[in-house]
Amino acid sequence: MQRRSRVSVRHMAHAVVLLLSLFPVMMIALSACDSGPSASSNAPITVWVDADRMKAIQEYEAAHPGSAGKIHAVVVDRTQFPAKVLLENNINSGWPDVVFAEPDLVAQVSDAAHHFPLDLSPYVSADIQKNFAGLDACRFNGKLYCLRNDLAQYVLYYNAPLMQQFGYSVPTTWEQYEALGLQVAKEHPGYIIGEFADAYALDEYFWGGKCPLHQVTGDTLYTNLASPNCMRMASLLDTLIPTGVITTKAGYFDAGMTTLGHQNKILMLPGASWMGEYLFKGTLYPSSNHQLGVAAPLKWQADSQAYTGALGGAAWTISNHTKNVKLAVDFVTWVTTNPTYLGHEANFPAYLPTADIWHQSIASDPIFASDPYPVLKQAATELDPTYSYVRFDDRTIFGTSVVTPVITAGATVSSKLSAYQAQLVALAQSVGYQVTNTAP
Amino acid sequence: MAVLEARKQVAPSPTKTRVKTGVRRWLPTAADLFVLPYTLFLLAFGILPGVFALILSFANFSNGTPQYFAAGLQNYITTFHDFRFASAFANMFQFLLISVPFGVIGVTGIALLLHMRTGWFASAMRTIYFLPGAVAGPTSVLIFLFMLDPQVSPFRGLLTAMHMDQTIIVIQPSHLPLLFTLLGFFVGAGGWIVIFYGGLKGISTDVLEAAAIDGANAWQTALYIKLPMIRRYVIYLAILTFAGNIQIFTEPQLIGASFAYSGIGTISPTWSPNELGYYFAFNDGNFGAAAAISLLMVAIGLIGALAIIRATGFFRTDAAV
Repeated sequence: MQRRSRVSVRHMAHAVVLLLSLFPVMMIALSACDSGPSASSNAPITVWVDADRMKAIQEYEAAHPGSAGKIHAVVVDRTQFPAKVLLENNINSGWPDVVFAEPDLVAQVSDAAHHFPLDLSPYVSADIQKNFAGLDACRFNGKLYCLRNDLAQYVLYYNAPLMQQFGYSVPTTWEQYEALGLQVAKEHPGYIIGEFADAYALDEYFWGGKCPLHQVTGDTLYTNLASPNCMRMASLLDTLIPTGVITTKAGYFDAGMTTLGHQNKILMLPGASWMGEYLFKGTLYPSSNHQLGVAAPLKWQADSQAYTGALGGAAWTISNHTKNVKLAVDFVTWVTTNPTYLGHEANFPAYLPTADIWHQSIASDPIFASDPYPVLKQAATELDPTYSYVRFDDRTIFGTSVVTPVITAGATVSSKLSAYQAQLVALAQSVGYQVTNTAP
Repeated sequence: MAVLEARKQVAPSPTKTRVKTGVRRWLPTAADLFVLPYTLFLLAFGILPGVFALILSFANFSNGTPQYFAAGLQNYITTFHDFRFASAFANMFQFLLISVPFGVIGVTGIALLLHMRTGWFASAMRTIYFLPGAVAGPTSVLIFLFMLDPQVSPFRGLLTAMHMDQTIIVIQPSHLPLLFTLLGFFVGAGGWIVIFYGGLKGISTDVLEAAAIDGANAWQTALYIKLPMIRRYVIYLAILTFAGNIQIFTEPQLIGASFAYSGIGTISPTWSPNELGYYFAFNDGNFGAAAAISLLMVAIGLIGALAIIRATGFFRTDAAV
């Protein structure tokens, strides 16, 4: 028995040595595959999209018969995009040419390890850039790494008939929102004006209002949740959460929120631009009776204007490895700016001339109390420019370190922000940012 | 039944093969042929990736492509000093502390209880226990997602009675080790119960009758007669549960990501060491640090298994027991 096992160990050792000796050969073989970037006007391009965005490619091909067969579309789970780029870097081939992804994913693939996006500034004219709203999200250290597809700017949704019935006027500032919240708690308990039951509360309350979550300049990330701009929001939440008007029982997408909607208990709810059509309509409100009012994002009295956040909103990015820059740039520019595609799609187009055409698709939607477009367009230009998209996930740690203790242990938001800050700093440093709490 | 008998024979009861001493042969025996496929797979999917990980753990990935042997011990230092390292291992050890005893005692207990009953009831229960095991791991995690949501869970009555009316309360961090234990048990226990039951069936009726004649009741028979006779199965289960559970990944990863998608963030994407390794590789692009943490997991698994084997005399031959 023992002898046998010793023999097989020796066999194994031989095999391991043999296989080990193959490694250098494999490495050389792999590195030989790297042919380096070269431009060709005829090379086909690979585009990674989700199933919904296949239409963009079909419409581009219909509008450009010459490009037929040159665009190879692949449906990819884009949360895997940064990971796949790393693997492709390892084998030095296989990158897609164009990817549909959110700006935070673009941020992730723009560091030295991923080294993926192409700077589009030489290819996209200043005039076109100027007509985009929310393009700051695509700018990384002066480079333009993507073009925005759609925006998900926050606005304030309210139930117009209810507000009228209760005799309330729609707040325009966070101070009025807080005062009205206390009034609702007293006069109409059970109605809600916001939610703090999921990690999207970060986008709902802390992204706007110039709370310095994370602002990146070069490699330096400025974050300071102890800033008065964050603490004023924490204090508002700590006032309203115990009264129940900002619910901790149901997040946007919980069954509990649907119940509240069906019971007509949602008086107000800050939400993203797409929520009117895709959350309220059909889900929170089973029927459309012109009940949904859309008001401008709230501002703080002390601020000169509103600065709003977003929940979603995607972009198109191009690989710096692409063999056909011309086609890739032409495709991305056409898809984002030509009204043929985005003028009739689901979400608010980031390219404002296209948005004006998109206007018709929602102007007369019976879910809205009045045409929401002017408010949405204004809000699109009010996305907080001091908020940078970053290479780490700031939201899940907000869930673990703030929302969870608020819900399960009755903690205050103010007392948990420092814990969130600590995790955010550690995470930022782990992906290579120099962190500072001094404003740039 | 044939399957069970076969399982019983491949189960690690040490064979009494006579070792032919003094004869040097290089001709492959039947045993060698039987071991060959396993050896090949072990090489391809065990040893080779392990060696590759060892090489990667000394590689530098800072510019996206591997520079072999450029990092020295830096990846190990990065891993040990990472701010998530301690919490990931703390989570894993908490999970082990609950899941290993729970799994071993639960499976053994249920198998012994089943064996006390005979007839259709035992066979029916055996099948029922086995059923969840027929569902692939990730699928069962997805089924579990529904069970954890008090709005739709079949156990919502129970959850509400425990004042857990929100998913976020059900899956709050302090509950996770127990939840993952329950999930693992739900999926994995059935197969082991069947194996143990097969083992118990193999106990000679003479022995059990003798025990009965000597006045042992059902519990005494179970504890003092049957349990010692399936002792090796129990140790084997303990080793495999330990080795499997230090690798916990699917449960926190899938449950965490699914709930994070709807904004419920209570499970860190680096909850367990394996997740931290995955995060190093596919979020930070540091395959070197990922390899370092993987090797650490291998070391822990080996040391754990060796400790159990030593403490229990698992490989001692029957004669020596």
